[in-house]
Amino acid sequence: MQPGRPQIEVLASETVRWAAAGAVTLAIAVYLALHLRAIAGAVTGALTALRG
Amino acid sequence: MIALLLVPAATAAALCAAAWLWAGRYDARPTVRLLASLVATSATIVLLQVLLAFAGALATVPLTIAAWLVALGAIAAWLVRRRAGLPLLGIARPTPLGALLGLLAAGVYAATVGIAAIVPPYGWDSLVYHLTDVFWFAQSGSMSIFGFPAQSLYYPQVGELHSLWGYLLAGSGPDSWRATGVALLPLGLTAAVATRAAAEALGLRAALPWIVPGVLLAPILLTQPIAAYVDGAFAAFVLAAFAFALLAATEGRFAHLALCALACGLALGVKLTFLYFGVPILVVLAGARAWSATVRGSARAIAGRIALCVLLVTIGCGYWLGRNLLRTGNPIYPSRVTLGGETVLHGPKAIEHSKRQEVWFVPSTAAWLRYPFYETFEGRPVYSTENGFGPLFAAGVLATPLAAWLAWRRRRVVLMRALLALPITLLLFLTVQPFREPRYVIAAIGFGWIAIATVAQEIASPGKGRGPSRLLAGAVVAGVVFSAAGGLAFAAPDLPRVLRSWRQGDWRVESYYAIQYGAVGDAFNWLSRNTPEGITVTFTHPAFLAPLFGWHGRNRVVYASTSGDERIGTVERCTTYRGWRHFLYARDVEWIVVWVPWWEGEAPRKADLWIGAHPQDFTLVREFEGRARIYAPVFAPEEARLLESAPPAPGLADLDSPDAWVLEYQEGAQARLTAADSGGVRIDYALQTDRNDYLDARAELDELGLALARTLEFDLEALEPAPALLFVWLKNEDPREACRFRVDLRTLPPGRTRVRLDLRAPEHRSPGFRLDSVRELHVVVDDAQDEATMRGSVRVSGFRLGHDTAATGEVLR
Repeated sequence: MQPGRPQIEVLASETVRWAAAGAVTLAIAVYLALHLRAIAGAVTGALTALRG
Repeated sequence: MIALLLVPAATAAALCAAAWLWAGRYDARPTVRLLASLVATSATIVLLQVLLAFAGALATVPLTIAAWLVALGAIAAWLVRRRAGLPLLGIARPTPLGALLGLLAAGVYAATVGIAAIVPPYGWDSLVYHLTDVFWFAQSGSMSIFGFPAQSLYYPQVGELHSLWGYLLAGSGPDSWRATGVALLPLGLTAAVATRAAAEALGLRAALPWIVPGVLLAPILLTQPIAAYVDGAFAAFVLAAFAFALLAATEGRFAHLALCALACGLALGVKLTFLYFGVPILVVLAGARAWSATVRGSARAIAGRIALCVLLVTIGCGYWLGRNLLRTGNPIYPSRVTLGGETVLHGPKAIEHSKRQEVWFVPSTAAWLRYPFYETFEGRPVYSTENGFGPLFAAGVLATPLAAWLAWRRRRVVLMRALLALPITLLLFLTVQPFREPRYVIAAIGFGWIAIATVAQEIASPGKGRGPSRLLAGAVVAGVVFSAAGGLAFAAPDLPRVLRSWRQGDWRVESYYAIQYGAVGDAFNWLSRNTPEGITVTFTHPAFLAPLFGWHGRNRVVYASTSGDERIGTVERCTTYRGWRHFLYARDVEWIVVWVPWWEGEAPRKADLWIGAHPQDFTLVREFEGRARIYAPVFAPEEARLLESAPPAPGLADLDSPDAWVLEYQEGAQARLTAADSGGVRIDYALQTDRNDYLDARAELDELGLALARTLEFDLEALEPAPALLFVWLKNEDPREACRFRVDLRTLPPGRTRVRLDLRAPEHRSPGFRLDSVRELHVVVDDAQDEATMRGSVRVSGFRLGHDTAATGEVLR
């Protein structure tokens, strides 16, 4: 990653890599779930208004 | 809107193109080069306007000519001194995902410009001061401070100068105000490019295709410019400074540090909060490598580099901080800074913390912990000008400890310092920031991306399965699309209603103010429509100053402060009704606009009370459902003749009229000030609870020579006796410096009593109180015993100063 620095396998295990990706994905998913209704309502309202 | 934006956009593009050419010599990497170009363009926009303001020529034609001269001159100079081998563009082909997200961002920004074409700049703060600055600067051709005692008008105005750029280059015409918000939109690109440059500096390549669209499409960066708010501009320059600091920390070049200084100056020029929200940049720079090129060579060379950095910082903020320093000795005037009980910087405004804003977002301070995952405003999950960081920020918050652990394991010190930016910013937000609104820390969106990019880089290790990377990419894309949809849907309040009217063809842009502000919005538009040539207007309440100029910007807006206004700057001050009438007459005020506050806890303004007490002196021109009133002052020939002469000097004799007094506090009390039948002021009061009840009536005293006097005297009569105490307070400009006298109304003989207060022997006196700096006189009626309730009435009159030392034997204290 950094020039001249030896690569160290920090996330060596496939499980840990899945867990790291999963954790960030989970944060996004939780956020989406908590806001989905409000955002979907606003988007629908705007689109309906645009269609006249 | 396209016609309005053509010249401002083309001129900014020309400046940016010129900067791009020269920036190739600084750094050939497209992201760094683009960031340098964007920051240099903003710096040029600021510098040109500051210089033209010094020359009193801050207007459409001079600015257009100057900007094009600079742009074309820079391009010509580059052509003359062109170096072989430097790429003209040098932009790499984007990845398919990056291209798709880029197209999404471009489409959303085009739609945002479309929304800005039908929604005018509407933000509350914009209508109070951001656009006031724009109208005033355009009208005056300078950057003088608008004559109103508000602290916001003294602070740096880099954000406002970007709006002014839009306004002036759009022609300063009747529609130009509509360009003031959208002129801030490109600063979202600066924020996004800066975040990508920061990730590149750290070698975090895996997330690069997501970063620019991801930051650009953060909901709050879409909603802010439409309202003409400048927090997005602040984020842009904070993130630019952060990126250049990281480049300096990883590569050690002085040029990076110089550009960091330029961006720091611009950030400080948008908001003084950079004084503490800039700490993450210092943390990044807290390593020897960042300074290695700067401290190389002779002492003279080092001094030269440091001087250059100081000069670059001053481009963005030097005008305002220098002006305040020269005028008041305090660069951040009017704020007063106190450290450990000692006042370090003097000013009339204490920095006070308030939780009033916090409750709009979270029920308690602890609830900020969950806030990144559940962004609510007034109890509902919505986006607004104040909030809306989106799902990627939530991901960034969660990813930060994980990324910090990864950086620690790899011993990547610079990355560790970069990852501290988010927690430091949030900590400062919770501890130092006086008002907690998420918009003040928009830059945290970019800091969060560094954590996401760190995790993405780690799980994209070569030779491993691509499943985790694909999962992360999918989640990020879903988050970006969600942000874009939410940002557009909440781009402006009541958007569906606006779109419906627009589709039906009966939409006028200014109608939006009536939707957003009700009858007050109608008043904005009525005022504008009925003053096409411009008239002289004054006002009584310090809200919505910008609409007073008319959307055409032609009205002359004048103001005289009264008791109740803060003593900020050198605005003309009228402590008496006579003085205010003289101001109205001398300044040819045609209309007085009264905004009636519907928001919390606003006491009536002194001028409103004067209008109410003297209805014969004003004609009601128009009323707007009780929310706003417009009056025209009426001057009878006899009064006009009197007002032709010199302005009346305020004196103690004015205190015989209730016009000179204002009821500042009524704690457990109700009171009324009226003219007494036998002259002077009658104070009727009711002290109503079993706690400490009191009322405080305040009058202003300027330049009355108390220091030369021995006594302050007045007549006091208990018209309706009650077991209360009467205190007289004399206060300095800093009201904490005061002295107090006491009169026990229980011992007052019947009838009128002449009270003489020995000015040298008050009952209480603060250590810093000075008789030659007295600005206020307070009469306070307090219950002698807290548990008692009572009604009473006193009359005060005949205030004068006594100089007779022989009379002191009769002095009451």
